[in-house]
Amino acid sequence: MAQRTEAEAIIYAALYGIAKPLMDDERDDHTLQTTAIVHEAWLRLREQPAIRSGPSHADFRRVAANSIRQILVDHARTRSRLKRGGGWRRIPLEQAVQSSAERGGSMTTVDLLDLDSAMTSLEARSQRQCRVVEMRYFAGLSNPEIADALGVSTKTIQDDWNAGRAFLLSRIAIREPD
Amino acid sequence: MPNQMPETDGVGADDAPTRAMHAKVSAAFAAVVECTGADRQHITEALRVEDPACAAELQRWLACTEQLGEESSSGFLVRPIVGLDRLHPSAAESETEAPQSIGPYRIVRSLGRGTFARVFLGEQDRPVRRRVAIKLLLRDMGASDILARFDRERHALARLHHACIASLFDVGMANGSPYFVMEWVDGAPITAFARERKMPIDERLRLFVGVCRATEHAHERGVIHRDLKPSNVLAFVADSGAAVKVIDFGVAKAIANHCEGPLGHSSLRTLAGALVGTPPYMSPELLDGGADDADTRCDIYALGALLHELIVARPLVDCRNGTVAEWRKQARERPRVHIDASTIALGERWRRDLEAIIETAASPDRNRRYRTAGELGDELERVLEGTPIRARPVGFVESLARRVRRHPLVCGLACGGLVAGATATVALVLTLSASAQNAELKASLFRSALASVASAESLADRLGVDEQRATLQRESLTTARQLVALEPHDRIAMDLLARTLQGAQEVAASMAERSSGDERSALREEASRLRREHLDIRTRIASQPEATIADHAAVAVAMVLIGNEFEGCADYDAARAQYERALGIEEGLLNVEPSNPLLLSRLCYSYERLSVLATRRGDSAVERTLALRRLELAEQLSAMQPTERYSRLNLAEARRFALAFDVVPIVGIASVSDGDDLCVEYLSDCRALARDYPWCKRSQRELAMALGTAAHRLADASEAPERISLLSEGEIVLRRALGTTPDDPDLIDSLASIVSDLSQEAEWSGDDASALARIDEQRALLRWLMERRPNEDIYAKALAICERRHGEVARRATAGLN
Repeated sequence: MAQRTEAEAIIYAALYGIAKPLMDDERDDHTLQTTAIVHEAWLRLREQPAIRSGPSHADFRRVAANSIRQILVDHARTRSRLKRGGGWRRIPLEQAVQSSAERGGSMTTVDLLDLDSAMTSLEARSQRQCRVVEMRYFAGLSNPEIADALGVSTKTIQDDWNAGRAFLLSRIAIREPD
Repeated sequence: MPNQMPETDGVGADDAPTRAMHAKVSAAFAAVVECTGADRQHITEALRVEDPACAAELQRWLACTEQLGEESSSGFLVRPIVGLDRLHPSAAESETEAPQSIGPYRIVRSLGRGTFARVFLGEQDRPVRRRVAIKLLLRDMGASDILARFDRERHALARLHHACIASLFDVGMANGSPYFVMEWVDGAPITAFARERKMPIDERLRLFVGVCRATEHAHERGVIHRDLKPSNVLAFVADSGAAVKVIDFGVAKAIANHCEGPLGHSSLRTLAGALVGTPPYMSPELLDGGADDADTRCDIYALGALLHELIVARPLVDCRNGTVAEWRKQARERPRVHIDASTIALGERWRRDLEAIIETAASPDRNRRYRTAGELGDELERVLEGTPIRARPVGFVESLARRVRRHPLVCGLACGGLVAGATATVALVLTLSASAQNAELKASLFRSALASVASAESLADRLGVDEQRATLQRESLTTARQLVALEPHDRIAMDLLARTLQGAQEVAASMAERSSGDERSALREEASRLRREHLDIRTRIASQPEATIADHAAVAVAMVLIGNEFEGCADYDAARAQYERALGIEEGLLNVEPSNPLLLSRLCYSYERLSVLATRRGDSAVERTLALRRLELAEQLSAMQPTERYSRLNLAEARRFALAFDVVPIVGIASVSDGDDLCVEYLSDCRALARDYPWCKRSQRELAMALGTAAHRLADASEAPERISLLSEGEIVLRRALGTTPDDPDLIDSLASIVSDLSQEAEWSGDDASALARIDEQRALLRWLMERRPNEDIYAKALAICERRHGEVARRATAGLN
């Protein structure tokens, strides 16, 4: 029987969901790139013991969220380099992620690389707040789910979320869409 | 603006004071968020007194959130990048949150959960009291789309009645999620069932024959499973002993199609396919995503993989690790099937037979698999009865071929070696037969020579270079002919000869295309001879007492091949005679098996050719009858296989032919009310086809022709703008398709006809300059076509008309200027 567990299939699908819109605005051969990102990301994710043991594992969501963040940030870095022949140009990632959806309209854009740096400094101050932001933003989990995974109350999660978000907001540049 | 770059923060993980401060600010922030006005002021003031640095940080947080305004700050990070939850309910959900009921069904308990669906045991009171299995698709699965697709297969599913197929009772929607209600089978996956009971091999095979029969039953009714795997093949203990039922027929495909559809692109389908199917049981073409559509052959592959696992308790392809690309490679280049005698008690002969059977069923090349699940079942019954199996013992060559796929030279050498070996063996057999002694040795040598030729033939088939193929095929042919001469009634030898001939005529024809002068005519003659010999041997096979429907159908194919040859030489009467003979056979077979999709598609082709020939003769009454019969058959086929590319294209073509005569109500074809409705359906189906298969040349071309046909039906002068818009769209479609294959005669042919229509429109609108330019364009296209297809007289006729019109318009234009 296939050991490619359900958990793996879920994450794979989730990764694909991330990678596909990311590449939508790129060149024609984006499908190949999408595939490449997903595969690469997948190979790394699979190494995590918590992912191997499946979604019932308490660490599953935390690890998945963290991995997704790493994958996206890595991708954003590579892409920034590629765009300008080794130069450094920031890509408003949130915009890229959302532009293909129907969400459109006026939207605050967040540079993922800025966000990542800010999250690193948040992690130095409060690991839990950082995990909460990660799980909500990068994995789309609800407060009760996060509370369950981290073993604290939902009230704590809400407070962590508010504080973590305010801190991040104070650390990164918010731009209006171009 | 607090736009401090975080990199400059310089906070280490061990910076305790910073962490303490952060905690303090966080606590204060939490308190502040919950209150307003004076209270808020009070808290910040208190903090300022106690810890000014903290207060400053808090102020910064508050300023940021306020500066953005309530609305946009609540937007910051709120919409997650991805929802793990959307694809997957939390782990606890399936246990604790099983719904009380789904539709009219009471839920007893949860049976399990997959990536796309949850399965429940349900109870029904009316019309009968029974327990059912309910498959509830997860949220966000594109409910209406799945149901729409499913609806198209509903009729086919309703015709499934087989002891080894779990019936589908009902389909519905509950809270926006589609659900399927099926017969509940209280069993275990066939592999686990056999393992736990330590079932002996023969019992396992008997059980598996039931699975083959069930799959055959479904395939004959146009239903493909698409996800055959142990958990969909449930075994249980019935009154008469172990029994088996296949679940999820039609369901897996409806879901799979949904997941493939919106993505469309071939490399994306790979990805989606990897999620939808179950990799160890997915054929290489499914893993590729390059296959046009899932068809019966991928079910045959899955059966082979399943049989392998049932016997050796290990999957055929190990998909526990790696990527889709790696699995694909493994599935294509896997080593020869080997059954380890230590895994199961098995005689040597059974072991060899079963290896050959699995090798054939799960061949990476779908054309080499058993043609039907029934054939696979028959083979297993032969094993059980102890009679010889039909599977060719090509395992070794297949595995060799897989490894040398990228090395045609090695492949050629191997092939040459095999043929040489076979030739030597045949010589030996001939010597022995003279002495007429040692019959057993003779028989065994005969088998071995046969196997060598079969191997050579199968290797030759993989060579990319025609010349190389041709040389080897000639040698294989000689040996195959000798073998048939030795044993004139040996079914396997005759089959082999027929297959080699069919391949050889194809190679000769393709080489003729690319050569010229004497060499060309010599190759054509060779192809022609081979086709006749092919028909001859096919006829002999079909006259054997144990001949199957497929054998008879193969005779018709051999005739059609000869018909094509005559048609290519513009000998239309001779072509017609061949097609009519083929058609007679095929119609006769259809009486025996009225819903055999293969027969239907072959018949459609024969009718198509015959109606084209009638058009050439100008016999419009016959043409009409033929075109309508073809439309009827195409509708039948499409009802059976609504999502197959072939049957969709076939239906579109049939409609085009029928539309050539303004069709009035036709008895027996319910869906056609009149030509206009037919045309609307034709056009909209073609749009869907072209959208679903952007890479498929025929689909693109059919869309262009549908646009042209639709334009032709708008006869009124006032409708010119609509006509021009349809024609221009057609031109765009064709030019885009020509972008990838610039030298395609079929596309150029259609383009010439659209350009001609556009020149006519320009002329009607009085724009002589444009008309002339278009006529020039058409002339160039026609000249190219004439060169490419010298036997086709239509182009010469069209060119003559073209020249005449050119003269007329040019004269008028000059007169207008003067």
